[in-house]
Amino acid sequence: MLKNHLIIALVSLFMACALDADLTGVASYHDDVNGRFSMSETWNATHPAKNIISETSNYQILVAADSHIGGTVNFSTFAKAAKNPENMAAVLVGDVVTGKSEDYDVLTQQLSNFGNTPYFMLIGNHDLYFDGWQSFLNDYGTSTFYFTVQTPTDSDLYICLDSGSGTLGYKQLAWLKNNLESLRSHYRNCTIFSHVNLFRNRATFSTNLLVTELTELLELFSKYKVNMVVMGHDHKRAVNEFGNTTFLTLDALADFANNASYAKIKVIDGKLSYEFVPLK
Amino acid sequence: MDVFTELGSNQVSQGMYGNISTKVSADIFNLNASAATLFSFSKAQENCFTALALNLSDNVEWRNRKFNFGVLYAWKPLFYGLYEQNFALLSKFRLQDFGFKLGYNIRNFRFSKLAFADYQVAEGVNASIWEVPNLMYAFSYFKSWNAKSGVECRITNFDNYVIQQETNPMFVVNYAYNTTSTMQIYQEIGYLQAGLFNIRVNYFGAYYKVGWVWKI
Repeated sequence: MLKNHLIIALVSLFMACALDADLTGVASYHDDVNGRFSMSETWNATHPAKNIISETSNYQILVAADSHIGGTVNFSTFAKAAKNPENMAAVLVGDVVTGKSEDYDVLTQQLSNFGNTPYFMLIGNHDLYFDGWQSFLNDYGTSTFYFTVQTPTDSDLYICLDSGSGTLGYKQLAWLKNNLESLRSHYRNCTIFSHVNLFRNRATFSTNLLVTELTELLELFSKYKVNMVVMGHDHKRAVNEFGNTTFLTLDALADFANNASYAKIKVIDGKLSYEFVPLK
Repeated sequence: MDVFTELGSNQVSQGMYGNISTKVSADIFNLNASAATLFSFSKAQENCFTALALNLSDNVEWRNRKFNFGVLYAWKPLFYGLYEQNFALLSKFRLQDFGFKLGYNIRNFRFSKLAFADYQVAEGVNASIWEVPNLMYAFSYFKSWNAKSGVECRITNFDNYVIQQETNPMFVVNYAYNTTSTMQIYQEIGYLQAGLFNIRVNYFGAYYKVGWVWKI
């Protein structure tokens, strides 16, 4: 097992270089998560949560993770699928770009292919590289927010978190608690999106939230009956059913991923389900 | 006997937290056995009793060097009806100035049957979740000024009760002073960050610990 860890360490180092990692992030946290949350709240104060109306009781949302633009082959396929009017929204669960401003520009061009489908952007660690937060803030305004989908009979709540720094931070955690406490009971289903995956399903050198924070979240998810948590970061799908909550980790959408896929989150007869859609 | 109190704060604790730990060790049938309990006080935590840790270890001599091998079990009630368990194998090796600890743990989260009923969880749903084996490590550098006092600088992903994921190291500095041949007092500061292996670090928390060891 120790040998495996050494191999993983070397492969991770290689991947860090191959994926255009900004190595200054090992020591500096000038764009810390509490600061990002404050800026997001400023934006949220003037931009109310989006309420999407579904004319049918059954609907679906497309969700993808880790597209790592530069490359856009798989992202274009996802954008075409997202454009279909049967999708109420598309959610990109972080590591959408490499963090470089030119890749944010490519993303902006790609997003025009989504047509009328609303899209929501989460931030991942790669999106923060090379001062990527400034580009993200300029283009999308917020990294912590929620939106709702209203059907003829019920409404569902979708909460998007900023876990790009490997912690939610005390401000965002308080925000999550407050929102679950005040909003959850008004909605039929509750889904949470986060870039960083919560459980370690395989030995990798990608970092999860610290155990101290994970246990706090498990308490919240149990107490407020969160139905589904959708994550990325690990580049390999995993499904964990635990208590009332399904924890779904997505494959990477990136062109270099052998197992590239995205997922459909479906609401059928009021119940949440999921389906992976492979790209290769 | 090892007793310590700890004060700290982190992104989850909602202000300061306090810990009080008591550990009792004894040699039984040539094995060293220990039991430790932790009581915690913070705004974020409803329960005070937060951990029980059991340890059984033995010294082994191999190629004229002494190694210590042990098994650990830790049980941590997190909140109503959910608890965390850790099962671990740990080896220790000490050179004059350096110390090494290496091992593996497996973490399990589990709901009690009572909690499952109270949370109205549907039948057939998992009450338990296991993570993959996790590397435990501690690399220490020791510096002694005299026979009575010394400093240890450590990079590790675990302490007495918390085993972080292998990708979440913490940095610890410990100062120990032997008041007598059977008594020691120590102080420790620890620093935790998040996201190191994501190459996007963020401050997570820090603590100060003061403890007392009494060899009976």
